[in-house]
Formats: sequence, structure tokens, C-alpha cells
Amino acid sequence: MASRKKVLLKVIILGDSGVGKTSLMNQYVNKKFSNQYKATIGADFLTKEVMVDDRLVTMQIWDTAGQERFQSLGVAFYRGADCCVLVYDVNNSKSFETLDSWRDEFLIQASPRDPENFPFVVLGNKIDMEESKRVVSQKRAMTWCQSKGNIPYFETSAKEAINVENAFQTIAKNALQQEADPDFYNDFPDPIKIDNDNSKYDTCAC
Amino acid sequence: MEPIEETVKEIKWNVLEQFSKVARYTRNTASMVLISTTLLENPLARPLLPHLSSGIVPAESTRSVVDEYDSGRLYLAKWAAIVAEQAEVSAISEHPNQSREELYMNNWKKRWSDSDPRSWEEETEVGAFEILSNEATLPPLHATRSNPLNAERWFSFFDTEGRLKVELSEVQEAVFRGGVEDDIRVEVWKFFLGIYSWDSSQIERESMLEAKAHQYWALKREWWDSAEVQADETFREQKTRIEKDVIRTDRSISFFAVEDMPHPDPLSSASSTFTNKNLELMKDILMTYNFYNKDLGYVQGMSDLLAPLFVVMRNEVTAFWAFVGFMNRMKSNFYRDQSGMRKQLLTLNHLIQFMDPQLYKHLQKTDSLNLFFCFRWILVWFKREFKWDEVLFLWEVLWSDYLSSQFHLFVALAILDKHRMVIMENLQQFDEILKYVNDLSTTITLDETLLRAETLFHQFQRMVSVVDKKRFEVTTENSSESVRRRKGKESETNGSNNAGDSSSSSNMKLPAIHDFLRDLLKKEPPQD
Repeated sequence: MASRKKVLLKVIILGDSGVGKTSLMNQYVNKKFSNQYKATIGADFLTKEVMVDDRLVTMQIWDTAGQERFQSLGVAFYRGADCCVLVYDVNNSKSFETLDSWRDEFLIQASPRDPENFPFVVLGNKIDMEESKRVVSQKRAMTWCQSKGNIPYFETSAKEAINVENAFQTIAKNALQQEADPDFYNDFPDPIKIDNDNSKYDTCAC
Repeated sequence: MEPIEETVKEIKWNVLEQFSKVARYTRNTASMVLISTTLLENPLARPLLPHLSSGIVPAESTRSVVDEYDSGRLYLAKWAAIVAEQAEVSAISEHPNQSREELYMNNWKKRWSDSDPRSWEEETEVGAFEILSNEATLPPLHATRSNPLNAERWFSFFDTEGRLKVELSEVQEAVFRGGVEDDIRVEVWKFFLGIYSWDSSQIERESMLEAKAHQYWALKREWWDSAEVQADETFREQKTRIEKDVIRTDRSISFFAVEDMPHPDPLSSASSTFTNKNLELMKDILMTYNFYNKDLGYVQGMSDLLAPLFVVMRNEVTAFWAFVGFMNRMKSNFYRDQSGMRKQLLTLNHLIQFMDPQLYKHLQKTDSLNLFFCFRWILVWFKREFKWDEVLFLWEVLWSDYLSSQFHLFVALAILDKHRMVIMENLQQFDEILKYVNDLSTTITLDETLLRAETLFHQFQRMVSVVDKKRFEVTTENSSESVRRRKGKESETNGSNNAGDSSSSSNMKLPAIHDFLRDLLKKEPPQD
């Protein structure tokens, strides 16, 4: 059998409690939404195989507890991350204001080799709620993202599946760039394309 | 589950045979993947597929060689667990006279006879292993489960004034062995959670309750009636945090399920959602606790601890005080510096090292000794791992403090013990172990776990005494002068003797017994 190392992209989702981290992950991986996901305790992850630039990669998406008290656990989970997704709720300004500290904390705990260029993606979630509830404008969010080195920004709804697929495609792409090391991949110039049909088990009754 | 069990039973030998091949090949990933693919294509294996979550079914691409996280390995691990369970069930049915407890005991003997004598610690030598071989010849340990405590027996514990007339340990044993029946649960919990003292009479309890009600309403008014408090930013933050968690706590339980009340706070970000009376009371109880214990406040996980208490008590005041009682035991889990959680994970780490050196080595090799995959278990006492009714039952068993005030760590050890072979043979990375353990949620059999936990406790207790006895013998072989010197040293370090230290002269190395492990033999819950 040809020795081809499979690419595993480790993605960490961070953000305040209740902004929709678990929901975004489940919408993306399982195409399901429930408003009764329990508060995440500890950490868990889901995996999904995706095509990025004609390469098949496995995304391992980590969902963590949102209360800052549990961040000291982070170091065990953040290590080796290829991309960090910062999520806030567009209807909750506090959750936007804490993005700075989530970002800083991640950089401290994961200590990536090149923190300046480490890929982050920001998601403003819950855009399905009525417009009058919205407190963080798109402009404000984009200004912040620009100030942090042009972080890609998406407005999403995990509930209505708005922009979730798009956002994760970018996440995967940026993670792959982070992971990509020319020397490393030179050994495998001819990736085998496999028709990935993961969805056939999605309808199981478990 | 029946249909799968049936199927598994039918194909068991076939699968077992093939599986043993897989297990042998597990270390060779390339071969494993080939075989796993073949196995998956086996029509007999098909019925298993829909019952495994989609995330872990190996995709076509697992044909490629992987040396990082591999969902295929997880899939095989889950499968191995099903097969092993079936093998155990059939072992029991083939030997009806052998109890599960004896079966666990045999596993235990096997574990030690298979064990590398040096795996305790690199410097541990054959002497310690001999002790455990002798250990295996001792009579079997007794662990039993019985029927839940019923009303008749419960009331027989009290005299005509309603004062406990039997030893507390008798009550504790009854609850430990079988839990309690639904109709007396509300009363029994009031004792175990400190609302009533065990030496009180019925009349005294009535006045205790009255005083507690008074105290609760006074506490609640402090924030409920105060415009100043309500305007405080920290207060509002905590309120939002509590609200976010309450609306997603146990909503499948009918007590919390209905949505028949508009949201009471038009300023809340959740104001468009509907709620119900019980959810609102849950918020009030947690807000009041946030006020009662200001240093700690509300931390995620607390709503999980309160929900069963509230459902059983069905009363705001008693639910609050039951929660206070439970939190007295649990609050260190929620400390800002996480010291309580760290201590328990470390205790469990020592316990695994002492009781199962092979598993410990595997966890070490897979960089998993932080045991973060047990974090959720310990933080909310397995609330997310068992079904609702089982949680009620497990918690009362744990509150009984019959064998150990930290019996939950033996429950954790028991779950790991049951899955040790699967973990050691199939899971090669921290993330694989974490995923496997997380996915055990709601599949764990409680009664069996408790039996196993009790057996492990007795084994632990016995090992501690054997090791202590041996250490004493080794010590007395030395001159009396050095004995005095050593004893002084031991009391200085409060019993945490170093294994190699005292025995270096006799070529006999005993495992260290950390203070945290000795604490597991205590029945009094730690107070701080």
C-alpha cells in the first residue's frame, strides 16, 4: 500500500457560553439543529471529511466549554490546532467584547510557532433572530477583524443553516494552509481522490 | 438494543474469531485498516453499523494509512466493546453459579498474572508482585446489590418520636446497596443532603424546616427586592449566564419540558422564548445560591446538579437547601483555580497507577494521564453519563458514604476497568480515548458498574493493608534504631512514604501509597 499520510486538520471553536459553538459544529457536521443542546462540559469533537483544493482532508472540530473558568483545561485540547474559530452572538455585545481575550488565551495556551500568522476565523452567530435584537453591527465586527490581521468574518445562523458551510470551507482552507509544509507534502504528489459519501449514515436513528 | 444483541450473539463466534485477528493487527495500522474494511463489508457486521454514530463509521478513505487520530480505530474499539460485553454475558450464562463479582475477581487475578511485575514503577521489583500473587489466593471479595430501601424498612429505622434508633451505618448500607424507592426519596434525601440532622426528632425537623424557609425567603428578597442589586452589572451577567444554562438543562424531563409562560423579562435576550414555572424557579434558586455563596457564584454544571434535586423535592425552599447540602460536597469542583478538579483527577491517576499498572502505562504512552476524558464524570457526578432515573439512584448511593466519601472515583475506575482491554488494544491517542469515553454516555449499565466499583474498592482496601503490612515487616527486620528513625520520618511526611525508600536495603520495593489514596478509605466527606 502506498504510504500517504492523511491530513488531519484540528479546529478549535471558542467563544462565550451560549453563543452557539455546539450548534454550529452539529449543523456543519450532522446537518442538524436542536435548541436543547446542553451546556458543554469538558470538551468533545466531531470529525468530517471534506475536499479542500482537490485534497481530501479530515477536519476534527473541537467544541469546548464556554465559561472562562474552565479555560485552564484548554492547553490539553488546543495543542496542535490548525485553525481557531472565534464565535460570538450578534445579539449579545459582551460575547463580542470577549473575543479579544479568547484570542489571546488561545495564543498563550496553544503557543503556535507563528502566532502572528496563525489562522483565526470569526463567526457572528444567531443572525436569524429579529433585527431589533441585534446589538453588534457587521461594520463593528469587520473593523475588529481587520485590526487583528484581516481575520475572515462570517455572519451565520446555526439554526437556519445560513453561511455555515461557507464558513467551514474557509476554515478548512486556512487550516490546510497552516498545516501545509512543502517539504512534508512533496512525498505525496498524487493525492488519490475518493468519492466521499459520509452522508449515508446521517439518517440513522441513533 | 435487543435486536443488535441478538444479532451479535448469532454472529459472535464468527466475529470473535475475526476480531482476534483484528486485535492482533491493531498495532500494524496498515493491516488493521485493510481488515477493518473487510470486516465492514461482512454482511454479518452490517446490522451494527446504524447503531454507531455516523461520526465514527470509517469512510472509504480509511483505506489510506493513518498515524494520527483515526475514526476507524474508534469504530473498532466500539465494536470490540460490544463483543466483549456479549462474551461476558455468555460467560455468566454458561456458569450460572459464578457471580459477576467472581468474574471480576478472575479478571483481576488475570490482570496481575499477565502484568509485568515492573510496571508499577520502573524501580518496583519482584517482591511487590509476590504480594499480589498471594493476594489472589485470598477468599473472594464480597460485593452485593439489593432491592431499594422501601418505606416500611425506612420507617422501622425511627422510634415513635421520629428519632433514628439504629446505627447510621445501617441506613447508609441499605441506601448504598440498593438506593431508595421513589415514594420515600424526598424524605431520605433531606437527611443525606443535610436539611435534617440525623439525630433530630420529627418535631425538631418541622421547626428546622420552618427556620430554613424563613432563611431562604430572606436570602431571596436580598436580590429580588433590591433595585440596586438588579442594576449591578455582575449581577446581570450572572443572571444571563444562569438563564442560558437553565433553559437547556434536562428539558426532556416533563417537569421542565412545557413552554406555557411568556418570558418574564422583556430586556432579556431570550425574551422571545417561552418558559415555564419550574424553569423560572430553577433560575431563582440558582440566583439565590449565587447570593448565598458569593465567592463561588454560579458556574456551569451547577444547573445539572440542581435539576434532579428540584424534581425530587418539588419545592423551591427544600430544593434550595438540598442544593446547598450537595454543593457543600461539590463546590471544590467549581473553584476558579480548578484545584478541586485537579485534585480529584490526580487521585484517580494515582488510583489507576496503583490498581491497574498496565492501563496506567497505556495512558502514559498515549499522553492521556491528565485524565481529562473523566472531567465531565467528576464535575457533575456522571449526570451526563447515565439516564435520569439512574442518576437519582447513583447519587443517593454516593451520598451514603458507606464505604468511601469518594466512592465516585471507584465508579470512574470501574467504568475504565470495564473498557480497559478495548482502550489498551484499540485506542492509541488521547483524542481517541476522549471520544470513546464521551460516547459511552447513556450506554453504561449502572448496577454492574456499582458492583464492579465495590469489588475494586475492596481490592484497593486489601492491597493497601497488604502493602502496609509488608512494609511493616520489612521495617521490623531492620535494626530498632533505624525503625525509630523511619517512623519519625514517616509521621513527618504524614504517611506518604516513598516506596523505594524504606525497602532499598532488603531488595524489596513496594508501591507508594499517596495520601490522596489513603483519603479514599475515609467515610467522612471532606470539609473545607
